[in-house]
Amino acid sequence: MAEKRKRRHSKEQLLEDKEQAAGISNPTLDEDTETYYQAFSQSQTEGESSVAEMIEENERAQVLKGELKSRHRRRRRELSKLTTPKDDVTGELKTVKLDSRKKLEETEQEADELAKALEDARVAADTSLQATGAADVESALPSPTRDKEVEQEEKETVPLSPPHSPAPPKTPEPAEAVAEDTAPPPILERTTSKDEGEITDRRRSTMRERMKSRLAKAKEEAETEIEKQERDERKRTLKGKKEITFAEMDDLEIAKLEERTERMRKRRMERTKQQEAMSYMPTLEQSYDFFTREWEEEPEEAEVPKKGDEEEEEEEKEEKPEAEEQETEEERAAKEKSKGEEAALLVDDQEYTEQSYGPVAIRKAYMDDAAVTYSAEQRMLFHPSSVRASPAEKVEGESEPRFLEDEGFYVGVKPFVADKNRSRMEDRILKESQTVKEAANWFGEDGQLIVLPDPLREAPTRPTLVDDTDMHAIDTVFYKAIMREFDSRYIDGAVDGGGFYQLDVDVNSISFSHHHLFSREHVLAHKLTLLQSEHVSRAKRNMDGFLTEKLSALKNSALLLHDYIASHKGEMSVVDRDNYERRLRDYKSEISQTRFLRDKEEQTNRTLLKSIIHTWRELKTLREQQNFVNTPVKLQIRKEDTNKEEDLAQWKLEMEEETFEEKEKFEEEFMRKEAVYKDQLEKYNKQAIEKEEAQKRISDRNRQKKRRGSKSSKGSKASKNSQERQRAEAEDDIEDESFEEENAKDQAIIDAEPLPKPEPPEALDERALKDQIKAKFMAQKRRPGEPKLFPELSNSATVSPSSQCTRAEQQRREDVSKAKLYVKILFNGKEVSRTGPRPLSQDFNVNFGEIYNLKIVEWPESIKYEIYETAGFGSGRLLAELYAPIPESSVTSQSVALENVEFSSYEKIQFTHDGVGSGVAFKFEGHVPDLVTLMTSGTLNSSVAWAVGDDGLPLVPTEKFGAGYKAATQMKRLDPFAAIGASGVSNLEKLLEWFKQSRLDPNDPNNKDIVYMLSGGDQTLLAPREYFRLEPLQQEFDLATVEEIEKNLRYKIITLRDQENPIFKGYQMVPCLEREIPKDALKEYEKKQREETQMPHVKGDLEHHRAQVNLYLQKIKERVTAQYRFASHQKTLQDVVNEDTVPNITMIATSLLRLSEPRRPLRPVRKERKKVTAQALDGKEVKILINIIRASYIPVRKAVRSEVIEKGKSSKGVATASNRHHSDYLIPSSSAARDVDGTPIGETYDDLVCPFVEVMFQRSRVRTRQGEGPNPSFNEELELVLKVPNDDYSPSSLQAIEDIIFINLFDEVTVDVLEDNRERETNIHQRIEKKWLGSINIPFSTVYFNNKIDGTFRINTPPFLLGYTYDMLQAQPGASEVETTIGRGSSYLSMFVTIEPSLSLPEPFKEKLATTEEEELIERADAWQAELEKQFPKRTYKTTVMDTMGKNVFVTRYFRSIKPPPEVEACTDPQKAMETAARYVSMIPFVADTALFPGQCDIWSTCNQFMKMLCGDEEEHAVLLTNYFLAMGKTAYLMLGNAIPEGQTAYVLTCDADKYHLWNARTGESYSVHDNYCPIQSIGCLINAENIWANIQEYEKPSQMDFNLTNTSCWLTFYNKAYLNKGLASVQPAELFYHRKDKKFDSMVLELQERIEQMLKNKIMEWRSRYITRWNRHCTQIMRKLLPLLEEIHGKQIEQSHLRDLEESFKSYKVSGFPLNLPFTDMTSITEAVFSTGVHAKETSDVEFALAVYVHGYTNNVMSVWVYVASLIRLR
Amino acid sequence: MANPSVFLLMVSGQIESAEFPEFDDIYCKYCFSYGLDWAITSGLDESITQITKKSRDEYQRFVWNFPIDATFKSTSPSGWPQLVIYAYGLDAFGTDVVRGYGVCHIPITPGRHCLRLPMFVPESSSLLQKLTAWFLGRRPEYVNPRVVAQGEGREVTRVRTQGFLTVSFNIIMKDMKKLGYDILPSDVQNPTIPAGVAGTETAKAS
Repeated sequence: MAEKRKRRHSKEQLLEDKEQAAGISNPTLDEDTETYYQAFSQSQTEGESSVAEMIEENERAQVLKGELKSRHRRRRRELSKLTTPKDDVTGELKTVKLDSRKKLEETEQEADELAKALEDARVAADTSLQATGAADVESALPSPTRDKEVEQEEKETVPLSPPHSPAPPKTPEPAEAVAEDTAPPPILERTTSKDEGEITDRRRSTMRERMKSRLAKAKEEAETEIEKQERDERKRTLKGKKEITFAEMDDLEIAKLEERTERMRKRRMERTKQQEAMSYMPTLEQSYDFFTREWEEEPEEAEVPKKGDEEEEEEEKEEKPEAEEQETEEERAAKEKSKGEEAALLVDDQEYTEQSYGPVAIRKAYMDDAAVTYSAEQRMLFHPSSVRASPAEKVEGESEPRFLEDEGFYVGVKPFVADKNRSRMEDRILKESQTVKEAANWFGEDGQLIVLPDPLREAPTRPTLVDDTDMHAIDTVFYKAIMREFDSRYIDGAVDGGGFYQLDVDVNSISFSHHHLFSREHVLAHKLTLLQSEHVSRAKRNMDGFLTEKLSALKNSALLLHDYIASHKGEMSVVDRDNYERRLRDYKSEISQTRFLRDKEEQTNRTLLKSIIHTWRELKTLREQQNFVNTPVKLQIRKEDTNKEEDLAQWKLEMEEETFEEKEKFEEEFMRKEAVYKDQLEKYNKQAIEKEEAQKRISDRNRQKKRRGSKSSKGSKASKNSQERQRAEAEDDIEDESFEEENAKDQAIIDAEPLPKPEPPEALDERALKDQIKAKFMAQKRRPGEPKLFPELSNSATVSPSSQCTRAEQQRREDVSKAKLYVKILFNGKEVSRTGPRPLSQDFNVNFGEIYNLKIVEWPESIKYEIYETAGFGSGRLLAELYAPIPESSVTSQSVALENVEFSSYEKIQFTHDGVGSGVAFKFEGHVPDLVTLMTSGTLNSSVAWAVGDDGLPLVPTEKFGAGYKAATQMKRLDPFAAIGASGVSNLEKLLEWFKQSRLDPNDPNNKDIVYMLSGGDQTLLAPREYFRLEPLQQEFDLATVEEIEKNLRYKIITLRDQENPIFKGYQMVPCLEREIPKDALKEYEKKQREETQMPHVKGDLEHHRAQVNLYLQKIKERVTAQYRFASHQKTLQDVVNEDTVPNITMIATSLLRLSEPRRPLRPVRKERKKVTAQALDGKEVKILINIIRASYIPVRKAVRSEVIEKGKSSKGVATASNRHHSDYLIPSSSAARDVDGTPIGETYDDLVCPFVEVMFQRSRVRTRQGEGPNPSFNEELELVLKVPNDDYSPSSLQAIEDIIFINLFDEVTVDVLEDNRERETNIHQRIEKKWLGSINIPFSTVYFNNKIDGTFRINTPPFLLGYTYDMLQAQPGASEVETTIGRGSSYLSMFVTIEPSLSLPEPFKEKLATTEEEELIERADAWQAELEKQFPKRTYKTTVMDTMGKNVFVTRYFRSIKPPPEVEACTDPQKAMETAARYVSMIPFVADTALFPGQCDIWSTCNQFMKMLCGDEEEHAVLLTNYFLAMGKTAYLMLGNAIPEGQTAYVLTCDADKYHLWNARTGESYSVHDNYCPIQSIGCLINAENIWANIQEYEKPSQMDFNLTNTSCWLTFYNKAYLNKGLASVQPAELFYHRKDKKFDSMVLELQERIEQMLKNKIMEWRSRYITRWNRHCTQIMRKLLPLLEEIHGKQIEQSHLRDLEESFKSYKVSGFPLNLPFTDMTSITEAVFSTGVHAKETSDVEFALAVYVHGYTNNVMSVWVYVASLIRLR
Repeated sequence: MANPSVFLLMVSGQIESAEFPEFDDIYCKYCFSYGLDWAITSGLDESITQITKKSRDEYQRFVWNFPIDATFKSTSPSGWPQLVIYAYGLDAFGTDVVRGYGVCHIPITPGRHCLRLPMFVPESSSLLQKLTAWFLGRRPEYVNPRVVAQGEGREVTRVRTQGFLTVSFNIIMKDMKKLGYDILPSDVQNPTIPAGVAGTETAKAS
């Protein structure tokens, strides 16, 4: 094996290039390296052992070399013919192999051929031999297939290829390879062996060895070859695609491997060289030869003994092929046998390899026995045949397959499946079906597999949506809108419909029957013409002649009939006679009728003739008169003479006849009348007789009755038969009744109206008749002898030329010649064409003779002519409009005749010339006296017809037409409602009718319902529905009832949240499941609901009132909230989009100005900071920054020795260090503490005061360091953290913070507590105490809304501070009134407060509110305000404010003098009264609007609302105060402006004798406008009931301003001369209701007072829980007395005398304390205020406290609360 | 019940790319806008991407591939989170100018979703304003970008389209089904019937 490998290796070396080129060498890495390694190691070992041998052989080889070479060359030449690329071979092999596997016999055959071929190829004996050898070795390999392969290889070695391999003959690679280089020596050896035959044993052995090695090599080659093939095959068959990459990879590997082998080879060569060098030194050539040829062949020795038997076998096998060649039959058996042998061999081999190579067990890759596998596979696997099965097999039961497609069924295209695969499938199914018997299910009737038609479509059903490519396929394509008008003016439904329709309008001529330019002659001539034409037409008709003839004929026949009747009278039956007589009567009436007609005709003719003659005469006279002739009319009368006698006879005859007829007629009439008369007379007589008889009968009956009455009474007695009697009685009764009846009848006869007595008819008056007829004849008929006249009209008269005419006539003629006419043709009201202007001829005719073709698209509705007349210029005037009839579709331009259409104009035209004008009365100058008025009139000769197309067809729309009709039908066709109305739809009959008319297409699916319905299918569809359903399916989706849903807790919460209910607004994570919702979720809400609906039960009037107020507030708040919520959801563009405003000139100007401004680095301006939204704040702290700059005018300690006090002198001792603590003693001072002597203060500086500022906010405190003196400078920045509930920094929650920033000023006092003075030198024992001096309270909201507060503030100091006084030294002597205020106890603090980071503000309430004000007023107000704000953006201007109803109210309405409370009225001193009023107002608690209402909205409540609520912000206070002042007769204004610390605020300005004062209504303080420390920073406007004054001055600080309101350059008024105050009614009540103060009230106040006191005491004890708190009752008593006093003077500086008591009593105490005054709101605010002063903070037990509370109740529950807290420390 | 039962919505994804013709150097900010019943439990609510330049190929895309990762918990699908993206870019003067606002709901079904959001900007209210906005480099922009996720106030704005932005999401949900929300087709086939309703159903049936 090793040997083989080595050989192979060498071969590979040699083959390198070729293989590389072919790219097929594909050994796996492991295998190869292994091989190489083995080969290498072997070469080493063997090389050593066989050196001697090698030398020997070398010698021999040398001898044979030359021979060999020559042979080799020869063979090569032969082979070169056959050489082809190796892969061809392998490819070929593969196919062959496949075939051979299946068709063993074939292979055998081929083998035969091969054998033959081999024999043929013996020429190249060596190769073939070798090949066979190889083949033999191959056959030893386990796989039988390989065996075959090798056989095929052999085949291919044959130069002449067998038939099944048509490719050009190839030499197998192994053979070739051997042939190339390594082959020669063995060949040589073989030949020698063959030739010589006898060789020595050893030699033979070597020979054998060589043979063996050669064989082995061939075998190896074959093996590798096969391996390669197999691998290739596998690759190709399994993964066709991957082959390439594999190959590539392999190539790489190969390259690598080859490189390596190359290296190895070199190394080996070197080694062998070394070895050789050790043994002996061959020549260069020798060594070369040796290395190149010989060294491969010697390593056999080790193997020889073991391989002995093998060899033999191989030898045997060597011969075997030959045997096979001859005996193909035996081959199989041999193979079978060989299999077993091979297996054994293989095992041997393995054993051998393992044994021989020591510890390193290098195994060949384990392989299953392929043969076993194969046979097992053969058993298990089923290979269906790809031969097509006959259809007969597949169709079960049926004899013949059916082809549906041929029968016309649609059979889809079946998906393509390769035939081979299909037949395999079929085969498989068939084979399986032999066991399962279900083949029929798989095959269709046509014997094919049942296959669904190919579901794939060629074209994609939707366009591929590629992201990036532009998609033209689904682009929107623009189509022009198609006009489809249901009014169907268009014939084809649209403008550009297909049809071509044309109307031809022929305008031929116009002739005027009257024209305004007619002269009189023309009028007459025209009249004459008319009459003549009438006459002519009558003559033509000859009506009278016809009637005359008819008359004579009638007469004749009547006569004949009469005669006939007379002659045959006897013979005729009655009926016939009647008949004849009736005929005769008919004749007669006919005759009279005809005669009447004839008479009429004759009369007309005669009058016509007369008027002709008359007119002509007139004309003639006119012509004579005017001396010229205007018209060519000429009448000639032809006379025809007649015979007078004849005429007369005729006349008479006619008269006779007529008379006779008349008479006859009359007689008939008379007879008829006579008969009637007779009849009536008879009736009359008869009636008279009847009456008489009736009378008689009645009297008879009466008599009879009486008689019968007596008879019956008699009979009753005498009668025997009672029955009979009874009957008789009954009869009598009946008789009686009948009598009665008859009586009645007779009575009726008597009573009947008596008939009138008839008159006999009159007899004929013959004479009168004759006269009548004669008169008629005279009037109507030509008299006898009168000539017959025939007028003949001709135009033969010559018209006189213009020159002969009068001037007027000349003008007229000129006008006529100037006049032109044209006709416009309007189609459907639109002008479509017009004729050219044509001149009017002198005889007033215009000829056009034009035909206009109108191509129409609309249905013709009207064709109108408009006749215009122009005088040569301009468009002229409309003479007349006339309509032409729309032609019938049968009327075409070929068949139409011109028609005359008459027209006339109603225009009045009058001329100065001879023209008669139109519509104007004129007179003929001749003998015609009467006036004539004629209108311009004439006829238009024209025609309208449908045009005829080239094809002779009329261009008429095919459908019926006619304007109105058409439009209606068109509409009706499309819309049943239009056709029959909505009600008609429900009427089936109407609908049917409409359906028939509209000719709907019954096949149109749109009409399906109607057709179905009308065809009688379902009449119910037509019946109107009796119900109405909005959402018929709604119920199906109701998962729960409405109640259930509303009961749901979760639903409730979500609803409330959505409604932005304050409790639930922003409620996060509403639990998903109802059971997870906390049970008490709604508790708070429900509680609140309860509270709102019912008053909470509280004790005490005050609380009750408070509760009411709260309720009321709540209501307002709700309303405002609702409004605000609504408004906040109405966004404007500014709310949503940030957009820069367009810069205008002023903006640019200011920015330019800013550039030129001088830079002032020493005056830095605070930069506006960026606002931070709540979201951005997450996790950050918000701080309040307070920068305390300085304080001024701080009260100083009173430091007076007790001795001094005793002396009562007003002197101030020099405070030294030793008595420092004594300075704190409470020392009563009767006078001001000012040192009159002016002791230098410098020395006592430290002792005066040591103030510091402490800021408390939300119970956290920070303080500055201690300052020095009354005017300390701190310059310290204090920080306080803002604590917001729930960390919600949204504006809505921030604005609700009601915390107050307390800025307290304290004096830091060091108290020496050292008991023993002896220790003084060594010990220091001091206590630091702080004494409250004053405070400033700033609500957080003020800071929040103003963002920063900057300035100098007045510190609220108590009215008196025990132990402190003001250092009067600072007040400049001789200072103005303003300065003196300082002495009154005002300290000032300069500071700057802001929030860091700057927080965003809530959105201002910008909604334009509803208003009840007049539109005009609001408009002006807006404009006025906008104008001012533009000018002074920083000033506050207000015109309208929002009231509690959420409506805009004009601000002046808030002012009205209101009677102040009784307390004020009680004051006599006006100044005092004002102060009291201010005091009263200031005691009403203050609550910022922002805390009450959401957003930045400012609500102004009216005074009564304010009083009711008892809380409000600056505006309410100020308004109330203003109103009080107004009531007190002061001039007062509400001032809007900015103040510190409030920001935007409202003050009251009063004017008293040119002294202006500003009142802070909130605190009750007043300032002079000249006060520098006035908190007002800017004044915006002043308002009162009369007007609004806007500040337009340069300055806005009150001290700099001019308060002369009449000065228009300083103050701009809202109402002015142009816009007067209309006196708007005030919204304020006329007066406020003040509760009377009674005992109950007093007790209530007292109760409150006690409660407060109690509470405060408790609190203080609570605060000082570490120490004992003692209460000094005595002090409290004194203080209680003091407090009402303070209230009385409104908290001003108290007179010292009042304090004396206190001072006296507590000489032995160091007392520090102060009174606090605040309006009563609730307990907590009082506690807070006390706490902030820190009185309790005396960290020692030996302190006593005094607490006095005084509540002063004003009217309407306004409370002023005074709290006096003091601490007393006993002096030692 | 200390913790109400919630369902979780986990969103991971990325702002992939965008097309803004005519612009360059664009970066995005994004934020989520969600209702009151939602809370973000992990991940970033807001973030800002890197600046990207447009690709030099024919597509001219802006590619960020900026990851989004957030987990929400919620008790109610109402107020389902929306992703609001607003892109900024430098204009010719180097100022940051808004280039587009876009919004989309987080997909409501689990799985991978790729959405293409149209991006738009509010228009200037007049031509003059437009001109000045251009000059000053301060184009109109929304006061609060979350406006685009709401209906309120949108009626007053007019917008102009600017381009498109592609976002991909991978959505995972938890406990939706448990709380009775059927969102997957498979869920819908076997709908969750609340206990009460089921009771009534059976009651009706019987």
